[in-house]
Amino acid sequence: MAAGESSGAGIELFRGLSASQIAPFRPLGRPVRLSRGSSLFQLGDDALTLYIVRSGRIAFTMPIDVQGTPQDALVDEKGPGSVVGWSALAPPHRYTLSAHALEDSELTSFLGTELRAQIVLDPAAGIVVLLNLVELLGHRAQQTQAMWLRELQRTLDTRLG
Amino acid sequence: MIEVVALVGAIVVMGGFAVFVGLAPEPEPQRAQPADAAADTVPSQFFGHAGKPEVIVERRPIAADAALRRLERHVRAEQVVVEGFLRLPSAENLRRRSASPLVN
Repeated sequence: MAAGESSGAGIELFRGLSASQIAPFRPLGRPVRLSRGSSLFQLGDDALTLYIVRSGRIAFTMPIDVQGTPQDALVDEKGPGSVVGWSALAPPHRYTLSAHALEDSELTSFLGTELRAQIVLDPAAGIVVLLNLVELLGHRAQQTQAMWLRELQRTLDTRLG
Repeated sequence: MIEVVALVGAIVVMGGFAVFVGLAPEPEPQRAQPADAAADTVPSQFFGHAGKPEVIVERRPIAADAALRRLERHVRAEQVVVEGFLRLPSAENLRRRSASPLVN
């Protein structure tokens, strides 16, 4: 991670950790560069790695049929500071969507096994990381729920008038 | 008598043959009935349910790329509205219209 990120400020997964708490996580991170359009992972792949976006933009897609032809449709996108691939921390450790770079991007990758081991090694820091993850997942669930309900409302309006 | 029966039989056979080869006269097509003058005064609701406009779904084939771009704009526009709802949850904010090209 860059020096400016040592406090965890701006990185949603490490928010709230002190400099000494975040220090053991730093050597676990490895830089990754993606050129525009490059794939980060595919739906169904083993989720071995969690990423933090440092620059650029990552798109999440899921397969959808457009006029009978399978296509990848955008379902979400993330920018700097965001966590990508949290399935590396949560069983069954499989990516449930595909991700690719919308523009040239830089990320920091963490092996899920190493990250989980560090969380166990320092439970005080680990619980902060896990609570941050819970917040992220909760937000994602609420966002998905609200979007689904809006589509359901439109279906009702169309079918039932 | 025999000649009469033979003549009738010949006419029947010729008629059947004509029908078989398609020479029989076609039934006269039904002509459109002139519009009833009163029809002009029939309110439009007569043809449907008042207050329930028909939903017309766009069926024009469009290129997959164009459809995907519209989907992307839809997702982004919907996310903007949903983020507003998550910041300030209310039924009104949940139903707020987005700028999505797919639903407007």
